[in-house]
Amino acid sequence: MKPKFKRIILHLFLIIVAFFQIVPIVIITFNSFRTDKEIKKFPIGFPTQININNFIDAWKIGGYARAYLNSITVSIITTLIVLLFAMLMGYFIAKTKIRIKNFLIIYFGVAMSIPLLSYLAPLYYGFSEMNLVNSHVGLILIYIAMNLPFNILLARTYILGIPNELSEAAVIDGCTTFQIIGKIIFPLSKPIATTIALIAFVSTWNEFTVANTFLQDTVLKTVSTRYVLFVAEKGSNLAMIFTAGMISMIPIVFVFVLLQNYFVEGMTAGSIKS
Amino acid sequence: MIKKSKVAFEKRASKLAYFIVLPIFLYHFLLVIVPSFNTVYGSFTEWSGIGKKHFIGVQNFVRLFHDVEFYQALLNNLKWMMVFLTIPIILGFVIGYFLSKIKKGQIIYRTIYFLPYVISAAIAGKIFATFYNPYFGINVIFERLNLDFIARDWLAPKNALLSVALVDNWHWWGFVLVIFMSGLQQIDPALYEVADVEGANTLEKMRYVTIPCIKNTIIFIITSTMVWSIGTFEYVWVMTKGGAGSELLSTMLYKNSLFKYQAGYASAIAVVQAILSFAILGIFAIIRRRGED
Amino acid sequence: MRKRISIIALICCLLLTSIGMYGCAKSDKTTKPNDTVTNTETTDSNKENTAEEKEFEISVPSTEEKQISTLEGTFSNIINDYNTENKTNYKLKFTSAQGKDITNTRMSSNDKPDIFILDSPADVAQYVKQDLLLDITSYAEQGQWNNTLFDWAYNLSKVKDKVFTLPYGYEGIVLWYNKDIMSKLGLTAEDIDTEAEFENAMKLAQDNGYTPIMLGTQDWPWAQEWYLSVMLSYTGRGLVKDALQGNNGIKWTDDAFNKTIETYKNWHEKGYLADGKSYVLTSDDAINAFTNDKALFKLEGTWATYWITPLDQEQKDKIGVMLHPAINDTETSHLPIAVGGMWCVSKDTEAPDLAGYILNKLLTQDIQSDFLAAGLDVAPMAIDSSEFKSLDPVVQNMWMLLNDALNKGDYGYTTYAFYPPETRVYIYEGIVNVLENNISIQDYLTQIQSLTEKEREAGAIPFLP
Repeated sequence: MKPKFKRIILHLFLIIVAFFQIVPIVIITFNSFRTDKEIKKFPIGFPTQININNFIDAWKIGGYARAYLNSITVSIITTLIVLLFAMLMGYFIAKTKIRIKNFLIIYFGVAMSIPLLSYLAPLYYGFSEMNLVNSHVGLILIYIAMNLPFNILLARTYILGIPNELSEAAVIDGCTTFQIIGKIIFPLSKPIATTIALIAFVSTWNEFTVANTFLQDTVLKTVSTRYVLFVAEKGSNLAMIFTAGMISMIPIVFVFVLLQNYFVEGMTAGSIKS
Repeated sequence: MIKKSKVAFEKRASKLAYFIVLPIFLYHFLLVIVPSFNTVYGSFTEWSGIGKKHFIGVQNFVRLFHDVEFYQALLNNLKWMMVFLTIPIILGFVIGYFLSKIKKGQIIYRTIYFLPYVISAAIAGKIFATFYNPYFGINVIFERLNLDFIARDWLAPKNALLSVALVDNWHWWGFVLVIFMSGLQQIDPALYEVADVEGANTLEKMRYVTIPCIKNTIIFIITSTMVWSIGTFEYVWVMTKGGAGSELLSTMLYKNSLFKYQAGYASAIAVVQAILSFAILGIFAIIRRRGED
Repeated sequence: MRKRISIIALICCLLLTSIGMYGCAKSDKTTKPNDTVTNTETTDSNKENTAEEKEFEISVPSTEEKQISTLEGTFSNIINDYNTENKTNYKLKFTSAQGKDITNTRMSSNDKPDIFILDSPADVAQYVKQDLLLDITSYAEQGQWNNTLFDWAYNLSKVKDKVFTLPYGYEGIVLWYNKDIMSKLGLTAEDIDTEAEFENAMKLAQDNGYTPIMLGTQDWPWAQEWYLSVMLSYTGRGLVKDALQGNNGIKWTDDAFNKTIETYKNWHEKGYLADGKSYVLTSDDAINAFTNDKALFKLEGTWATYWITPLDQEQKDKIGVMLHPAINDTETSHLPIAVGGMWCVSKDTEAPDLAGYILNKLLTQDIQSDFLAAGLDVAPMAIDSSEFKSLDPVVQNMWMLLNDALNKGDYGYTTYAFYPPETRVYIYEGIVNVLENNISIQDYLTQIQSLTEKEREAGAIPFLP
């Protein structure tokens, strides 16, 4: 009887917290279906009808079809490379005895804290010499660099916690370094790999300043630049703003829900281990 | 025999490590650090952000340390740091701990808690601005519930910084939760079983099993939080533009380089920000070394 | 093992080079399809040309599809005309990017647009100081800008007697009012002209449960600046000019300005300005409150017709527009003005003649009426009032008011167009401390004075017509 009561209290608490987290998102969703006038009368409320027109208008005006393609390309390439680099770096810093280990930890810690504005403009000067401005490649190169420090440290912290016994056993079996990484470390690191992929994807998808600076051609622009410019332009039409917000947000929510499965997989792998 | 193969393996691994680690390090160094030197140099010059720089020595720093606005902004950054060292970390840890204990609904909860993290500051700022609206926001609800003492002008000068910090918290703590949870998963369940056998209660289990096992994660989160609090920008910029007493170092930097054509002075702010972050990291490095000894 | 290392290293190298190559290929590709789209009509004329094809970049901070296509079409036509006339082969590269930071960054790099837009004379002053702009005096003479443009606008395009820019839009700060509430209170807009009448109207509105003036500065501190532009300009246009230029011993700390700020603070404390809650309201909140009959007045610029467009007819009919009433006896009501932006030509452009040609072509009635129809700003030149007929009646009234005041020379100075940058920023940021009683009015004005003096010494005071 007692544990059950405890559990109910726990769930109640978790539900209240969940409520606070979800309400603003529900309101964004509701408002994207309401008309501008309704929202202005009272900003919080149920949609009276399912009004798809908002979406059609915002999609067209914002030029989202092209922007989507751009954002997806940029985000996926960035995420994959960041994931690969971060996991490799994380492993080598955590598990090998290279001399510059401590230096690297401090270096990336410091790098994490360098304000974007301090290297954005000089980078533009440099990239404009190399024909890397107004191109997705230049953007991806910067995004990778921006995302590396935190994710490397994150991967390192996690991999540090993986017990050495397993890899030591594999060494005795004659496994090479890459076999160890591929067969032991990566499978055990799925939760953190998923987290890293998610962080990289979300930050790339939502990033605005760099994209806005480095891409001038309309056809190259990403969803977030489109969104921020859209807000600046259509500022007073609240329905449009929420709709455009929804449009920009749906893919990340989708990716997040998709990745949830890998979280679960990672966890089961973890429990088998024990 | 066993020892030999292990030593040989480690040798090979660290050789290989340099092959992988150095290029990635160099790549980052070239893209972030090298351009930043430009800014470091800029901090010693009089520079409008366009055109030529004139070297003026440490004048920008002298000016900065006499600038009342700078101290105000720094204080705000510290307040911000205090908020983020408490609310998200406690919430993330406690809920992460509970969530890792339950099986049913864990995924749903985690999804919901994390969801705000994926929403960009631009739209979150917009939504919360309507909540903070004096005419039809949450104040109306508080007044209905006879909780007038809670209702206030959320974004008025005295409250703005905290109100914005709360919004950023809403967006941020789910992220801390996920990191804690991936740390908690690493803990060997056998340790808890041992603790159970020894008759430890929940608090003791937390004290002697959970916290020591995720020590690295905790230190990592605290360090990151502190460093990020020095550089935080987005939410304040979206919601108040640094007005109403919520000026931060980054908003001050941004305004100086953009609206006042004072890029040299702005560079000095960036350098000070970086130095503060180094200091934090340095202190933590020392603490960690002490802990290892 | 060693083999494996070299394989991995090889893969890494390949990956990096392929990324690099992709980069070069990509930057070629991306410009081409864009150009073919915009220049389809021109391919015929281009075939006859054997001249080498060159890119000419025009960068505009607009984002709306309709405006972009209007601008892009206009420019591409002008460039084609130029090509046929001069047997050249220029191709338009049209880009849009928002924000002064991007312009600053690009103009400091090697990737400069040929024609671009700066926000205000204060920005132009900085750019001229750094020698980044092309002197376009000869083209201005060619196009007789001194006759076409309004005098004040023509003067604004010059720095030290040389023309550097072409103002492309103009705006003023006006007072919008709600006709319904006005008549409910038994008032008419025409009868509110003096300080006393204005105070009376505000008091009446407040007593009847309406917010006298709507103002949202939470996400938009510049709304504060609009009001301060009005207040300072209404203190005395001559005084502002003298205070900025340091003539006749006039200073910001003088009694006249002190009194103005006192009045402003007084209005704030009485709740006339957004019930004293302006920094809790966003600019959208302010617009919504006004259009939903919550407030009598709303201070906003003439650029902001975007908030009128989505309203329904009933709401639109309620909106009236007037000049802000006087706040003292020395100055009558007038219109603080600004330019919407200024076309500039990069000093590094390879085709200065083309740039001049384009700017001159912009000043034709045809192109201006296209711009007006697309909702773009029009050049500061007399526009045939029949062009306004196609617009919403409210917007039409606003243009009439604007044109009328300019023709009569009834204009004043906005802080963001005519004040040097640091002074300008402090004016709207510092006022919060005054309203919150953190600093005294005199301290606030002293600070403004010292900033102005500093910037005057550095030569950063823009031209004042």
